[in-house]
Amino acid sequence: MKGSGLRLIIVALIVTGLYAWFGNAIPQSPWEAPKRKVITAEMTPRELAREGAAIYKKSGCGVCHSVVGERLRASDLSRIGAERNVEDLAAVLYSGADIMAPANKPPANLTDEEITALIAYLQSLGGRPKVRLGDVKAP
Amino acid sequence: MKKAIGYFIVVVLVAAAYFLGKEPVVEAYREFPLIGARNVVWILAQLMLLFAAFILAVPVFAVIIEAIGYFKRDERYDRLARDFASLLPLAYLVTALLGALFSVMSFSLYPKFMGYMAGIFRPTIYIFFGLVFLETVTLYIWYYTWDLLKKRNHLLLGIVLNVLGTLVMFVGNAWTSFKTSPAGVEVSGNLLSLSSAIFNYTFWPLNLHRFVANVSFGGFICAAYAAYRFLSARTPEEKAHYDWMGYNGTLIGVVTTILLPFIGYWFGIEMYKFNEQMGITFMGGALSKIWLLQALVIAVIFIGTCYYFWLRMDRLPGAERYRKYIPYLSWALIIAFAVWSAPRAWVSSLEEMGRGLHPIYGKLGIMAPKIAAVNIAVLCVILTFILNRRAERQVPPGRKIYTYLQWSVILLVVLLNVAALYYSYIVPSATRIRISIATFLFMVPAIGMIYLMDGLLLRGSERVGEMQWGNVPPRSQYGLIAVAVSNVWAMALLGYGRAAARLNWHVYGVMEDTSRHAGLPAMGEATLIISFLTLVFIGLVSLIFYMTGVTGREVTGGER
Repeated sequence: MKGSGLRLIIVALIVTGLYAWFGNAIPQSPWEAPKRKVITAEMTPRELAREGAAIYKKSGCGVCHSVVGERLRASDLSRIGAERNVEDLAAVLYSGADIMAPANKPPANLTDEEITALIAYLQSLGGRPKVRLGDVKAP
Repeated sequence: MKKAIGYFIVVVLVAAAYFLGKEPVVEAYREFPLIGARNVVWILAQLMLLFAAFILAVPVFAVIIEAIGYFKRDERYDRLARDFASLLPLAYLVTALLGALFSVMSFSLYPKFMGYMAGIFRPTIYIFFGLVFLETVTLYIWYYTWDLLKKRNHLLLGIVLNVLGTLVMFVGNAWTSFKTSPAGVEVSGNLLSLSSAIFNYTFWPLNLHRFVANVSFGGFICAAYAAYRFLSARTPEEKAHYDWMGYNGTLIGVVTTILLPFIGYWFGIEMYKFNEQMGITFMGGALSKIWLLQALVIAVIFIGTCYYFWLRMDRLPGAERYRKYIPYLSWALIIAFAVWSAPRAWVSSLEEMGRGLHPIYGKLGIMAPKIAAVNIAVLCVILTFILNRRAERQVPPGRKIYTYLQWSVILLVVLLNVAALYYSYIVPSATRIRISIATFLFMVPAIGMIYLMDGLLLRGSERVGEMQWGNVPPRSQYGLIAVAVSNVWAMALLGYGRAAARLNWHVYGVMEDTSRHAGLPAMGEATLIISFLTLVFIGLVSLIFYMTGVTGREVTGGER
């Protein structure tokens, strides 16, 4: 009985070891809870766009949207800055669209300041960032 | 063993008093030395869930097997049911201890969150402990009156036990599913409707998924127990009994496992309905690596089970006719799992993901072809099972029509899924999602048809020869143990996945996790914890196997 118990444990060790090895062999990507960006009224639109680019990446927008002219799950954003004005962008971000949840709700859960920075980044895609903190009104 | 009743009741009462007696506290989080608060709660929660799954599953099929024995007037089934049930008293005690420890730790380390949950679900907590108490008392009466009650009354008591166990699971699932897809509360978290909070989006799919997964898990664990007893058996009779027990456990495990992908899709659909971005995060975003690991683990479970059935054909008179199909089935399984494990997001971060597809594999890793591949893998398992059944029987003359119909359905399943697999790579995502739903809707009745045709074909058929129980190579038993360990690992992995889908939220969108453990660990770290808790579970279960074996010997004087 003891011998078969030992053999059971050895099989368990081999099997769980295999899975743990595989889990450690693939590229690792811990997910960090989003940290609030410090966005101040003194920031220029260009500085806001830089912060917005970081928010775009961290919030996982790129999983569905492309910014280089490809069609993924959702619309391509490579010329969104030239095609939409601030009000349009704010409306989509605050209300959501199709499968996209509002940006101020989970999982993105952005603050009003972060949404303004994101709009500045979107304006920079095919256009020039112009928006400043306070220009975007939450509905 | 009877002392276990007393210990169990004391543990449940202490836990209930602690759980209900807590006052709301201001402090949100406390730390746990060395391994951290999150990991200790994670390990305890998962261990408790694994034992809970076991004690809910075993009575389900123990009662079914007991009923088969009663109606067939076959003593072997009754002994088998009793063998399964003998594992329960100790398993109940361990579950209660883990549950109590988990409750104490959760309230101590996450007081604000647990206080919130207790506030929302307070009435259900009373119901939960009441049901647990009733279930435990029923279990012990059921177990210890096996030979005292009339068989019909004993079966009835078994059914009552299963109803109580299922209700306990439903109450626990209400709490779990609420955390994933909260309903019935304001944005601020105040309760509006308790019934909406209970019957949230993922409540029913979770109930069904857990129920079926628990039975499957229980089947595989009992098969591992049989394998363990087989390997330590001293007489041919013992070997034959535990070989037969292992076969039945595996049969229960595999039949229910086949249903799981389809119930899983329903769970996924409800998750997408609740919040599409949560679904995307779960399937193709930050958590997509979970599916790579799941592919590997399920491959081991499917191929390991088929391997066991293929080895079984070596000692089955009449099976020579069907052995030639085994290489084709093995290759089909390997190809199906190769498609399944093609990574969609095998990148080190979401930022690298940028383009939404894998930089090297591109569309190879998209989900829709994987669903077709899973369908083909499921079909291979069904075919293995059907060949096993067919091998030991002589098909009566005049029933060729059922064979033709059955093979037509199988051919249709293969053609449809291969076509779906191919087209999924070249059509837009909206079309391929529709294709996936169509294949899924087709598979369920197709599986039903295949089994129906098999039943009609083999009805009243004669056996070609007697199965040589006990005459099986030991490697088949190691295969069963590996399958059971993989099953435990898969449950722990997907349990982690479902909790991780909430990202940095205790209750998604309602209560944010602001502790220092709010993020998700890298997959490597997660797999180490999953492997650790799997080993702890296997260790505890082995101890139960050992203790049950010793007690069994004491009771029967060494004869089992």
